[in-house]
Amino acid sequence: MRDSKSLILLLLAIFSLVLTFVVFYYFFNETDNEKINFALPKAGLAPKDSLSVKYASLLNDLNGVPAASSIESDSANAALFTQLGALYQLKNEITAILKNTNSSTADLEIARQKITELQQRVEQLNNRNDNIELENKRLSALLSKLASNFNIPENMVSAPIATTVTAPVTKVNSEPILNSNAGVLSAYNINLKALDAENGDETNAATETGKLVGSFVVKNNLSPFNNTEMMVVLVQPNGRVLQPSPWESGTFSTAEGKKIYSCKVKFDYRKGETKQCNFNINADQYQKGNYMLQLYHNGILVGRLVKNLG
Amino acid sequence: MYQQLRKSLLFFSLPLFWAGSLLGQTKSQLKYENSQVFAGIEVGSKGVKMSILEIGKNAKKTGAFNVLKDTAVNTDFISFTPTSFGATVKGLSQLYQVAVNEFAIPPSRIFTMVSSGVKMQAEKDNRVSWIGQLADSFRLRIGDPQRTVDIIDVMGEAKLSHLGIVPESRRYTTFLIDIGSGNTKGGYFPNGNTNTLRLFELTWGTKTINNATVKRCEEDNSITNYNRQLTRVLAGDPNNEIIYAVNASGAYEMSDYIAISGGIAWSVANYISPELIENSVVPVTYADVLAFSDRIFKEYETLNADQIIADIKDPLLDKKIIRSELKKVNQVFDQRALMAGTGLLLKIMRQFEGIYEKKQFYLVKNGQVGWISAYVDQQINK
Repeated sequence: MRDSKSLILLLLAIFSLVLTFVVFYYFFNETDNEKINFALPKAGLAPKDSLSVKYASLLNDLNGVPAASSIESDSANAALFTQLGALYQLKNEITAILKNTNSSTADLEIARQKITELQQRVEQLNNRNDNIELENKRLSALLSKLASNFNIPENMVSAPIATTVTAPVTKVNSEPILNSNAGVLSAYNINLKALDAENGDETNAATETGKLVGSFVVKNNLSPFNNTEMMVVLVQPNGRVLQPSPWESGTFSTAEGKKIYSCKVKFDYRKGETKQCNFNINADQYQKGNYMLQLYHNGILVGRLVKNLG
Repeated sequence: MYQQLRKSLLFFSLPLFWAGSLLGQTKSQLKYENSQVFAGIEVGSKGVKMSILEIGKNAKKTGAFNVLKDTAVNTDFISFTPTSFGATVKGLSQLYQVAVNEFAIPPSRIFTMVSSGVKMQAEKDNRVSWIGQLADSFRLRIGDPQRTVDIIDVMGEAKLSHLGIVPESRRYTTFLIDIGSGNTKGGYFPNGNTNTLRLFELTWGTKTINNATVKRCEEDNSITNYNRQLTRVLAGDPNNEIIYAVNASGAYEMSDYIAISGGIAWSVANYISPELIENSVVPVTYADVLAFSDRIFKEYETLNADQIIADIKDPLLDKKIIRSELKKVNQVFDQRALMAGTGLLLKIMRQFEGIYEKKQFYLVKNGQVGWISAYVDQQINK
C-alpha cells in the first residue's frame, strides 16, 4: 500500500515536470514568433537586413575596384571612368537608402533593384577581367614564342598586361602589347573619339555619332618598315567587325586565322622614329555599347582600346 | 450570304498576304539605313536583265550598294527576228511587272535602257528602227506612254559603270577593268573630272582564252596539258596586247587603285575571301591571286563549299550565304574556265605590280549592276 502511494507521487512529480517544460517551451517560442511578426509591419527590418547582408557581400567583391578618381586621367581611360563613375554612383545611392531608418517598402524595393544592377555590373567587370587574363596568357605564350624565334632574351620582352580588376582598360590602353624588339611596330597612345554628326564635337552618344576618329603612335628601335600597313579592327558591341565601306575593309592573316579589318593605315617607317598615325571610320549607324579597337601589325596584335558609346 | 462574305474576304486577303510576304522578304534583305530600292532593266545582246538594288544614302561616298535581285531572260534580241523581238518585249514587260508587283517599286524608281552592244549591232545590221519599235511595244504593254527607254553608247556605259562602282573619293585614282567572256574593257578619268573617260580595250576574255587553250590541247585532254597550253596561250598574243594596251592607256602612272570586275573577278573574290561574301568589292594582292591560281591547278578538290567553310573560324559569319554563293561559283566556272580566267586576270594585274610602287587591287563582284546606281543618281539630279 505504501509502495503504491509513493509510485503515484512519483508519477505526479514527473508529470508536473514535463508540464513545466512544455509550458516554458511554448511561452518562449511564442515570444520569438511575436517579435518577428511585430517587426515586419513596423519598420521592415527583415528585408532591410537581408539587403544589407547582400550589399555587404557585394562590397567585398568591389574592394578590388579602384575609385574612379584614382585612375590616371588620360583620354583613353574615358570608358573606364564612365563605368566606374556609374558603379560608384550606384553604390552611394544604395548606401543612402539602407542608412535611412525611415525607408519605406518602395524605397527598399528600389534598393533591391539597384543592388541587382550593381551585382550585374560587378559581374561584367569580372568577366571582362577573365577575358583579359585569357588574352594575356595567349599573348604571353606568343611573346615567348616570338622571343625564341628572334633569339630575344626573356627579360627584354615587355611584361604582360596587368590582369587584375583594378583598371583593366587603363593598362590595355597605355601599354603596347609587344616591345620594339620584335619584328613588329609597337602602338602607344591609342585614342578613339566619336564625333557628333552635326557639329563635329566629341560625343559619347551612339545616336549622335557621325564618325569615329582615331590615332596612335608607332615605334620600333630596331628596324625600318617601308610601305607597311597597320590594320585597324573595330569590333562592334554585337561582336561583328565594323566595315564602313567595302573599299576600305578587307581580310588579313593572323596566327588564329583570317580576320576582317575595318580600315588600314599605310605608311613608311624609319628606324627609331616616333610616328603618329590617324584614321577615320565613317559608318551609316553606330550601335550602343562597348567598341573594342584592335591594332595589328604583320598579323600580330600590338595595341587595343575599349570605347563606350551610350 | 455568310459563305459569300467568307469567300470575298479570302479573295481580298490573299493578294494582301502575298504582297505583304514579298515585301517582307525584300525588307528583310535590306542592308543600309535610309536606303531606297531601285530597279534597272536593260535590254542587252543576249536578253533582258533586271537588277534590283538597295542604294544607301552614302552610296556615292562609299560605293556601297546591295543587290536584292539579279535576274535575266534570254531572248537573243540582236538576231533581229520577229520571234526574238516578241520574246524581248514579253521579257521586258514581265520583268517590269515583277519589279512593280513583287517588289513594290514605284514606276518612278524603275529605269529601262538598251545597252551599247544592241545599239552597235543594230547600226551594223541597219535595224536601228527595231529599237524604237521595241520601246513603243513595251510602253503599250505596260500602259505607260511616257516611259523613257534610253539607248546608251559604249562611252556612256563605261562612264556609268565607273561612276556606279567606284566611290567618289577614289573616282580619279581608280582604273576600272571589266573582264568579259569575249573581251575586256575599262577605263579611267584622267583629267580629274567626269567629262572624259580614257577607254581601254582587249580582244581577249575568259572564254576566248579558254577556247584558244582547248584548241592547242589537241588529243591530250589532261589538266596538266591544259595548264601547259594555257601558259603558252597567255604568253603569246594576249600578253603582247595587254602590255601594249596598258602602256598606251597611261593608267599605271595615273592610278592608285585597280578595280577588276566581270564573272572571273566575282568567282575569284568569293574563293579568296569568303569572309567578305556580303561585300561588293574585295581587296586582293597579286600574291593572293597567284597562290589561288596555283591552287586551282594543284588542289582543285579543295575548292568546294564544305572545305572552304570548314576553314572559316569566325562564328558570326553567315555560313549559309557563303555556301550558297560558292555553289553558284562552282556551277558557273569549272576548273579549266577558272584557270583560263585567273590566268588572264594575273596577266593584267602583273602590269600594275611594280617592285617599289604597289597598286591596290580590288575584285568587284557586282560590276554588271554598277551602272544602275550611277544612272539612278543621274536621273535624280536631272
